[in-house]
Amino acid sequence: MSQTIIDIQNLYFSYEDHLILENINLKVEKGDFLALIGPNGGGKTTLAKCILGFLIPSKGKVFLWEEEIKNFKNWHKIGYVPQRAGDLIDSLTPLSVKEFLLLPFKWYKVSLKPSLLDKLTEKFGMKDLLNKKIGELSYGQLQRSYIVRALILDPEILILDEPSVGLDFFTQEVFYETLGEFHKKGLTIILITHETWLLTKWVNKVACINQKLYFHGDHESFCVIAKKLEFFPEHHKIEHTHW
Amino acid sequence: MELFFDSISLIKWGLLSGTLLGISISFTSPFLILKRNALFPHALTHIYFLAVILTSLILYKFPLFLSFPFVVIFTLFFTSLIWILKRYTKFYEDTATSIIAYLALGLALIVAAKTYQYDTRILSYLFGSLIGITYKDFCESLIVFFFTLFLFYRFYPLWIAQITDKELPGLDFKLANFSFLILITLQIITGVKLMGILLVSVLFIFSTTFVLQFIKSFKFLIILVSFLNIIGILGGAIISIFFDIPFSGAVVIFMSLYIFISFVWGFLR
Repeated sequence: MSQTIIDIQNLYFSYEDHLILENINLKVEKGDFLALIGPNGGGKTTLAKCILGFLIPSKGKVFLWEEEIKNFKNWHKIGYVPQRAGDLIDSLTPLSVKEFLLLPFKWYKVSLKPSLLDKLTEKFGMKDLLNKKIGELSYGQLQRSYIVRALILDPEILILDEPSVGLDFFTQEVFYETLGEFHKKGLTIILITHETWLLTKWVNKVACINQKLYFHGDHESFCVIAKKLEFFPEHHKIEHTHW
Repeated sequence: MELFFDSISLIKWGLLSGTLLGISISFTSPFLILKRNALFPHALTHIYFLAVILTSLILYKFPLFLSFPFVVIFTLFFTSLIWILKRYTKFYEDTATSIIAYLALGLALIVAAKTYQYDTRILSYLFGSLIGITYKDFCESLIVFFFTLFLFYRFYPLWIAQITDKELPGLDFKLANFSFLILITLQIITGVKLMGILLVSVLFIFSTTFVLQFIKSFKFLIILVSFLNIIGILGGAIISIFFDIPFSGAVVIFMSLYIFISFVWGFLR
């Protein structure tokens, strides 16, 4: 029987009288590779922020491993890569790549598994960059650093908010392939994305959000009913030829 | 030379206090600069000035040591107005900081003028004094130094977190940020006696900006900034004695060498 990792119950979120999320009910099971899709301003990032405890819902509850979020302590079990992750990093940031990757150990007081650092940096092609200054990395390398850092504590779930924005097509392919490998090894992944072409290749669940949750299920079912959904504006219509 | 050594004995508490202050500040200044908040210490000095004027108005008959907590509380109170203003308006943080700083300075001048505090003491507050530093001031610097080490050890992972991330799951930055504010306030209060309200923030900016140009690791950043702050204070003291110029101005001139080197470095690169 699959284990529920995230359980969102009747969640509402408003900001300055503007309703952003309305009655969201969503469960994420262990082993899911869930794509959270929807138009800009549809509430995907807001939902992720409610799951991560950055935003407090106006109504409703979020449970992580069956524990209500306000009592949840084991945050090291969640890896997170935000939208435009490297925005704060520049050439003055006085951290080597290695120091940057090891920061979570200081934050969450978890002991280091040295072999994991080697494995991850090798997997994401960062082994030769460890002694470089973090601000000297290219955009793609910086993005990969954030993902390695999110995985360094060996989390059970990884939440990625549009991680491949700004990456070229080839780098995106390699990046998602690597994520796919981690998923096969048991990592649960929530991916907020606009790149619907990804859905066929890697994800096994889809949730469509535009203020309300319009769909949640496996991606094959999503393909079938996607045409009937009307929450995407015309220019965001899914290209079904890819499916 | 004899005159030089006589001068040194006169300013020994100032030099020791300055050395401790230079080290203490090196633990906080990188975070200010990396969070693009370099003007904050300068604003804090203006707020501190108002706190001093108000405290001396209220506590003029009480012993001097009682004034310290009052100055800290007043400074923290007026500083918190920056965040209140930012929260209830849509001003940027640096805009709110400027508004409160100018407001504090304006009020301080009015209160000082109207309560007959507008005299030579104001000058010593504005520009500091190396000779005026006593054993008591040295002890205060020592306390601030140990307090800095304690808070840095306790909170630096959270302070570092904010230079790389806006939000992190499960981490609450409130206490860390409040501790940081208290620390900066204490460093300013101890530094003002030495460097003056107008120039104390030099210790937060010049060395750190210089070192950040080339340092690759956080570990060495603090060591180097401490070293350069101490060199700046000692160098400033020597220049001040030899050329008979104000100490705080001499420190600025000495430390501007770092900025000049940064400029040449950037130009040649």
